[in-house]
Amino acid sequence: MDIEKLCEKDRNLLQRLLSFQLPYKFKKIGLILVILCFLALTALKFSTADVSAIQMILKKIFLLSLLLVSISRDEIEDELVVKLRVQAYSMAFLCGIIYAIVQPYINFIVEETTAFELGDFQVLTFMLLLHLGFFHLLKRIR
Amino acid sequence: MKNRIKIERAILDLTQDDLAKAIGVSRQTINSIEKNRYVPSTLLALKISKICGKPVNEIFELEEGD
Repeated sequence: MDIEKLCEKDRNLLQRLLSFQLPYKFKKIGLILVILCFLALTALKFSTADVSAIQMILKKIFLLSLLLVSISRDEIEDELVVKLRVQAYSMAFLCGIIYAIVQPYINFIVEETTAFELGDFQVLTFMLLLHLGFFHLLKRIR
Repeated sequence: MKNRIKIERAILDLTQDDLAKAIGVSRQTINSIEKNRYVPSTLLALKISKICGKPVNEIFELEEGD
């Protein structure tokens, strides 16, 4: 196999990966799971028993559900929607970085503590929610 | 870039929804194109021109500064 064919194969594979999206029904499934996880996590906040293991699992399911919503196709996924999706991802990515840099300082000012670590759950939830928010906003004003 | 999609639609008596369905996009996308908020891809422009039965450069026109 010559180098041209290898490059073409790689290009096609990368293109397929980049355009990967789940069907529209996964958006609804994801949204239902997000709401259920949110309610369960809120309820567990008031629990007196040791529920840290359940909380951790619920947080992972919450993140996966948000990801499901994020990578699912829209009802009509045309080129404008694809463009808006990319814009929303780039905005969420930038805001996520700024959030990760700035948040510990804000926490230091507000709570006067340096022992604050930004967890993966916090940053990823922030980025995914921001992506969904921006995407929804951009679609509304298109 | 200016376009004459609204005029062509009126000639063909098509609604935004009719045109959107004919070319496989959402009605909002047609609205965005008509209001010059979104410049369609070559593929979409060709599909629109095919529906309208006119060449692309009769429907889409470059403006000064483009």
